[in-house]
Amino acid sequence: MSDIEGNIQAKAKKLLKDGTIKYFIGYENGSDPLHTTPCFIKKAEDVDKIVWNPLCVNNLAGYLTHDKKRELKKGEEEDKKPIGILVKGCDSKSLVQLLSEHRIEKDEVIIFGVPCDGVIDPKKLEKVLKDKNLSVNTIDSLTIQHDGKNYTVKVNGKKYSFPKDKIEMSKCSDCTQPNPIISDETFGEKVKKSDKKDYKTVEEIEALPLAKRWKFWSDQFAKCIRCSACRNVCPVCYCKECVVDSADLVITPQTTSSEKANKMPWLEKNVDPAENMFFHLTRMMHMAGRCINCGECERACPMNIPLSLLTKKLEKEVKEMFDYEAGIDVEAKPLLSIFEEDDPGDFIK
Amino acid sequence: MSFEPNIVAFLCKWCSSAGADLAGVSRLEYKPNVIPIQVKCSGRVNPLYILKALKEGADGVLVSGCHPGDCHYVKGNMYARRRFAILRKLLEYIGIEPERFQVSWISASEGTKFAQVIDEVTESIRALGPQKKLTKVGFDE
Repeated sequence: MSDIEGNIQAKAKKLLKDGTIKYFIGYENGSDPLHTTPCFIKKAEDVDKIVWNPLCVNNLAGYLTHDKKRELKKGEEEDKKPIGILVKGCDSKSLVQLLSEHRIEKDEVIIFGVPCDGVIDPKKLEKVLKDKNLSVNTIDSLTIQHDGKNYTVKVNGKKYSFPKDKIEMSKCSDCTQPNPIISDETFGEKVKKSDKKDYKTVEEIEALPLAKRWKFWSDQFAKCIRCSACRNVCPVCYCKECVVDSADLVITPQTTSSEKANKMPWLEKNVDPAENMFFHLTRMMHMAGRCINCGECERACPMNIPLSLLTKKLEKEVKEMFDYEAGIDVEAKPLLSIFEEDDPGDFIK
Repeated sequence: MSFEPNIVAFLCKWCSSAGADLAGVSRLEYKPNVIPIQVKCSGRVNPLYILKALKEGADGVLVSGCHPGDCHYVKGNMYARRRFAILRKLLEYIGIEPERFQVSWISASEGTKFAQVIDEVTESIRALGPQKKLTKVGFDE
């Protein structure tokens, strides 16, 4: 157990014991050794479950809004105590974005910040272990240590070394925010990472001719099964009612005209490439200036659609056109609710 | 038969619709391929409208509003400009011809500009051919 993990546990235990927080959101070991899973610790005696290691991939910030969406049971009183949450550098950007949109307020959350030196993509790790003839079922113990350019993975007592770029999440290679932007308490030393975002993957697609770009994206979106995992996992997709769910409206003689107008079936339920395209473009429009590129949508996608190519493009354009970056400043106004006199308008006749 | 494009035009009530009226009463001739839809303000045009129009088989979409600074609601068109800039970049990125979605500022006194823009948009979309990328499979002709 690392120092950081111990300190987090001790602090969480203290806060839970004296009743400062209602629960703590952190990570615990998953059902297999390659994954950790989010956990909600409500009792001080359960804090031993909390882990912190390079497998803590999930962005936990989104869970903060879940609690607000839940409707209270009859007679239940709202627990106004703050929630404790563990955030990495990138997750803290999501948290800042939620704070700036007033989805949560600062006094409703106690932030445990951890500077993060990159997290491991379980899919990639599984693959490299498979190459060494290690399947998930045969792994009893797995510890990961990080030393500069390599990860040392200790499996069943045997050590393996893998280069960083082979098993790390792709979002970590050009991370500009390894240290939490805001935190009530920081655990561990500050980390230095890249200064500049790398848009090479996006630029490669931009350089393709139009027909090839279309081929690439239509093939990708044809795979989509519209499970909505990308939307549901997204920390800033918090609406109670989503525009793409409007297909559920059944029109009866009792349906009022305002219902028909407000619940316009923009999208049909059938999984069809055109509908999928519409879904993803709509989602991207709603993400503009809000997405912080945490990569959760891509990670959650069961069909391996490279959604980060879309979110990165969005981030790049928003930066280039409006010099705006999401999730940096709690006081910032949302991108689409402000304007400048000299916004780009060359495309307008 | 030659291809006649179907173009959906969202015209703001205060400038562009009045501009279209002026083109009409001035007896200017312009292409009949545009289906005008009046909206209160170009800032009221949700990007969903544009995507939905393309999905339902429009070959192109035109959004037209007041010139910057002339908006009846002071700044609706400025908000719209930001949104449309992003949408256009996204459409281009996924491989849809950016000419399919055009924006124009037309004031109430610019009847000739209205006729000219409609002609230009129609011709540029006619040159691209029918839009089948975003339409539903099975609804293609």
